[in-house]
Amino acid sequence: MATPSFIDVTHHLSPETLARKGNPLKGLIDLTIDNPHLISLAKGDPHHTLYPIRRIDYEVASTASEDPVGEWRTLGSAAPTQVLSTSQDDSTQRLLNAALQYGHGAGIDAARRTVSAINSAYHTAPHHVVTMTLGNADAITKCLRMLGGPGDHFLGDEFTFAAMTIAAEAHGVTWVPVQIDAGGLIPEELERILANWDPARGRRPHVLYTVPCGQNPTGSTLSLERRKQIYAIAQRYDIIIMEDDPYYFLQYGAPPSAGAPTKKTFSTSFLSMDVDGRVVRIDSFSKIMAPGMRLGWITSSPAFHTHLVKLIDLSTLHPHGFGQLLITQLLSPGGWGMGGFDRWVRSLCADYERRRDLLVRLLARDVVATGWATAEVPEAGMFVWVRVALERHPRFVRSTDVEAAARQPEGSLRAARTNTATLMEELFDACVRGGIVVSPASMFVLTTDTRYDDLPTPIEDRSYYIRTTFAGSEETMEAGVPILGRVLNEFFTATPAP
Amino acid sequence: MASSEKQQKSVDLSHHLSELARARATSPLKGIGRLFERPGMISLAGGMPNPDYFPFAAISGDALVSDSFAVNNQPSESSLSWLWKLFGSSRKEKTNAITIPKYPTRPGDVNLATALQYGTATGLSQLTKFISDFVGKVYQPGYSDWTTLIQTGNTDAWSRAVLTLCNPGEAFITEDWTYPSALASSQPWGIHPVGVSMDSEGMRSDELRKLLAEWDEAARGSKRPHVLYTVPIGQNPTGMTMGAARKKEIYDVCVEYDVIIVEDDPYYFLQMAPYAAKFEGGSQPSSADSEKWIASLSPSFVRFDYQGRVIRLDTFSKTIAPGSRLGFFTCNPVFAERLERAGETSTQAPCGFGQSLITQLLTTWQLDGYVRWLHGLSAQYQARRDFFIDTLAEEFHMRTSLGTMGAWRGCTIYTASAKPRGPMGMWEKYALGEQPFFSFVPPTAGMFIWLKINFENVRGFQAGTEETLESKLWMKLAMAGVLVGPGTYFASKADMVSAAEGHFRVSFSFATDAEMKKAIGIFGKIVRDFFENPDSE
Repeated sequence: MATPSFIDVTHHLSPETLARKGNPLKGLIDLTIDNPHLISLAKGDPHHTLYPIRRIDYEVASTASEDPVGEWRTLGSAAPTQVLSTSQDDSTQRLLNAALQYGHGAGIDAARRTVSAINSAYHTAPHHVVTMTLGNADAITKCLRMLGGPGDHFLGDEFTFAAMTIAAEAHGVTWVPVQIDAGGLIPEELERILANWDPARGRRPHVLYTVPCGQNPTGSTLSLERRKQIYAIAQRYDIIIMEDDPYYFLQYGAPPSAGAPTKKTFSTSFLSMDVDGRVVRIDSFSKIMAPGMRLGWITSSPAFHTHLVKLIDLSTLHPHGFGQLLITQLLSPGGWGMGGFDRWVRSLCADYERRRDLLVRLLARDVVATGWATAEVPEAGMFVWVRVALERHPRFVRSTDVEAAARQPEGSLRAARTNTATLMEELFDACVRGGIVVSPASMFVLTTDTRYDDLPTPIEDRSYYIRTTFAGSEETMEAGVPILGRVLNEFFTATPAP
Repeated sequence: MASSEKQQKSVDLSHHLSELARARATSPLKGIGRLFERPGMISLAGGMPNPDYFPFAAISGDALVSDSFAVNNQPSESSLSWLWKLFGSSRKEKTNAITIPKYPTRPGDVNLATALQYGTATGLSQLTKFISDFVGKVYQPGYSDWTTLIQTGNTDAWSRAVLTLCNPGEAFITEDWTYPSALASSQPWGIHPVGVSMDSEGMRSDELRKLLAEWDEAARGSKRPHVLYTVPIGQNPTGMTMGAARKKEIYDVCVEYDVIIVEDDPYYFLQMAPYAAKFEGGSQPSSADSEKWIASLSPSFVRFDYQGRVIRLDTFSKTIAPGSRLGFFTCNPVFAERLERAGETSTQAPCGFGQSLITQLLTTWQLDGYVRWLHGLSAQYQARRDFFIDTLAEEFHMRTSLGTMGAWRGCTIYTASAKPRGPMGMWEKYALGEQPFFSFVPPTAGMFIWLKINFENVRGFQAGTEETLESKLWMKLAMAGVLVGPGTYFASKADMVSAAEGHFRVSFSFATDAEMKKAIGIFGKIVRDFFENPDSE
C-alpha cells in the first residue's frame, strides 16, 4: 500500500484536544490486550466467572432470500430467523468475554474489523481507520469537541437537524449557515462565505458539517459534481469535512416512471475522495438496524483517530459490548456475512423507496393537488420537504425594500421582510387542531450569529417548508396526508382577509 | 428507613452549574415530541424507523441465579455447581433463562420494539423504576425530591458531572491519591484537583475543613473549590473505606462551605470483613441474611444528604459487567435535568440491548434477588482478597504491626520481607531478611491492594530516585509477565511522589487463583532480585 500523504491535523485541533493527556490506565489495558500471556493485576475488571451473563442469543432476521426485508415484514413471526449465540461454555467464550469486559477505547478488534469490512465494500479509503461510537449524536459531539472550541466557527447546512448542532453551541462554537437547495449544499455559496470571510469575526471556519445523502430535513442529496466541488473548496481553504451520513444506505433510484427499475448504486462518499485525510465520516446502524442499538463508527485519518480515542478513554469509554458483539457475529460468515448485509440494506432501501413513492403519491393527490404546495422527490433518506406556496396566502405580506432598509440601519438583509414565520406558526397550529403533527422548517434553522449576513436572503423568509416523513407506517401516511391537504386548503381559502 | 414525609425538599443549588451547563439548550424537537402523546394524533414529523424493520426477533440469554455464590462458609446449593461439574452430573451452572421479545405480550413487558427505538436520554421505564426502588431501599436519600438518571458508566458520568459543575480553570477537591481518569477528564479545561490528605477512612474531614477555611484565592490562582470528588468505598487506589461518622463530618463541612459532593461509588457492594490470616482462622463470613448484610454496609453520602448536594454515581460495571456501560446518577432534580441535557446531545440513552437485558435480569431476580447476588459477589471478592494476601504471606515473610502515625494510624499493617530459607538459603547469607520490601493495609472493600514499596531498602538507594525505581521495578515485572498499576499514576499532584516510598496498585479482581499464585511467585522473585541488584538486566 502506498503511503498516504495525509495533511498534518494539529492546527485543526481544539484547545481541549491539544491539552488532553491520555488516560494512563488505558495504556495498561491495551498492554494486556496485546499480550495475552501477561497476568494482569493492574486493571479493575471482574473475572469473567463473576459476570452473571453466561449466554446471549440474538435471534435475527434471515437474509438468505433476495428480499429479506420484504419477507421479514410480510411473514411476521413466521419469517425465517437465525440465532447468533455466544456462551461461556463454548468456543464463543472469548468474544463474549471481550464484549463484557473493559477494552480498547476504539472498540473490540473484531467489531472494528467488521465495520472496516463495510467501509471496504462501499468506500475507497484504505488508509483511514475506524473508531466505534455510540451512534451519530455521540460521534458528532466527539468530533466537534475534537475540532472546535470557544471562538471557532463551523459551517453547516442552513436547515439542519438541531439536536446535532446545539452541542457545538454549548462548547462555544458559532455556526455559519450555508444555503442549500434541492441539490443540497451549494458549493458557490460555500466558497463565497470563505472568500469573503471578515477576519474581525475570528478565525475563518475550518470545519464543515454536512449530511450528503437525504439531508435532514430537506431530503436533498449532493451530486457527485457538487461533492467534487466541495472537496476542492475544502482543499483550497483547508477545511475538515464532517460527513454525517446516516442515510447512506437509503439512496433511491429516480422516481418511478413507466420504464424499468433503475440499477441502484451508492453515491461516492466524501470519504472515498479523501486524499488529504480531511474527511471525518460518521456512520450509524440506527437507520439500517435499530436506533436503540446506539452503535456506529467514525472513519478518519489515523491522527484524528488517536485524538478521538483519548477523548473516549476519558468520557464514555468504548461502546457497550452487546452491540459490538452483535455486529461482529452478524457480519461474520456464520451470521449474515457481508453478502447478507448487502442484501439486507438493498432490500431495506427498496422497501423505503416503496414507502417514499407512496408518500409522494399521497402528497401529489392530496396536497400538491390543492395548488398550495409543491414537493421535491428525495433521492435518499426518510423525508419529503414540502414547500408551502405561502406567497399566495391572502394575508401574506412582503415589506417593500424601502421599508425594510429603513428598519435596518446598515441595510442588512438579515431581518425578515415577510410574515412567513407568523403564517407558518398558524399553519402548524391548524395542523395540530386537525390532528396531525408535521415539522415546520423553523425547527431546523441553524442558529447563527445574527450580526453577519452569511445567507443571501433571510432564512425566515424561506422557512415556508414542512418536513414530512415516510419512516412511519403506511396507515399513518394514508391517514395523515389527506388531513394535511384539507388543513392547507382551509388555511388558504377559509381564512378571512384582515 | 426515614419517612419521606418528614424529609425536606432539596435546596436551590443551581448557582453551582457551570456556564456550559447553563448554555445547553433543549433540543427543539423535544417540544414537538409532547404533541405525539396526544391521543389520536397522527405524526408525519418524527424520523423514527418503524420497529417492524428492526432485524431482531428476540434476545435471550442465560443468567446465573441470584444465589449462585455462597455468602458464608456454608455454600448454597447452586454454588456447588463446580462440585457437580467434577462428578460430571451437570456441566452447567444453575441459570435463569431470560428472553426479551420484539413486541410485548403483556403491557409493561420489556420489549425490543421500545428498547431499540429512539428514546429519551432517561432510559427504559422498567429500569428507571427498578433503580428508583433500589436507591430508596438501599441508599435511603435524606431528602424527598431526589431522582435518578441513567448513564453510560461512571467515567462518563463524572466527565458529565464535572463539566456541569465546574468552569474552566476551577479547582475541585479530591483525595490525595485518586483515580487518574477522574483527573484527566477535566484536565483539558484547566479544571484541576486539590488533594486532601487521607487516613484509614480515606479523606480527612479536619484537613478538608482546613483547606476550605484557609483557601487563599490569590495564592491558589482559583476560587475556593465548590466540588468534591470522592471514591469513599474501597477507595481507588488505596482501598480505604469511609465510615458513617466520617461521611457525616465531611457532609457537614460541605454544607458549611457550600460544596457539592460527587460520590463515585463503584465498589459499594464489594465491602467485606477485615482480613484475618489463615492461621488466625481466616476472615469472618458476613451475615447469612442478605437483608442484614445490606443494612450493615457503610451508608452512602446520600443518606446524610438533607439538601440535595450529593451527586451519587453508580455503575453496573462491577456488579454485572463493565461492557454493559450502564449506570445511574442519584441527585437533585435540577442537576439531573442538566445532566440529561448533556446526555441527550452525546450518548443519548444507553444501548437498548444492554438496557433490556439488564432490566430483564434485574426484574427476574427482583430486588431481593439482586441484593442476594450482590451479597454473593462481596463474598467472592472477600475470598479473592484473602487468597491473594494468604499467597503473598506464603511468598514473603510477613509480620503485622499497628500503625501509629500518618495515613495508616490505627490500622493493622502487613510488612513483607524476604523469607528465611533454611540453613543454606541465600537470603540469610545476604542478611536481607529484616529489610522490608513493602507493606500494606488489607482493604475492606473494592478490588485493590495498595502496596507501599520500601525503595529505601534497595541496595545502593539514593534519595530522590524513588520514581525512577518505581518505574524500573514496574518494567521488570512487566517483562517477567506481571502487570501492576504504577503508583505515580494515582497521585493527585506530582510532588506526592517524592515520599520515600513508591506504590503499586494490585488488583485481586481479575486473575484466577492459579494466575494469582503464579503472578505472586514471579512478583516475589523479581522483588527479591531487584532489592538486591536494581540495575541487573
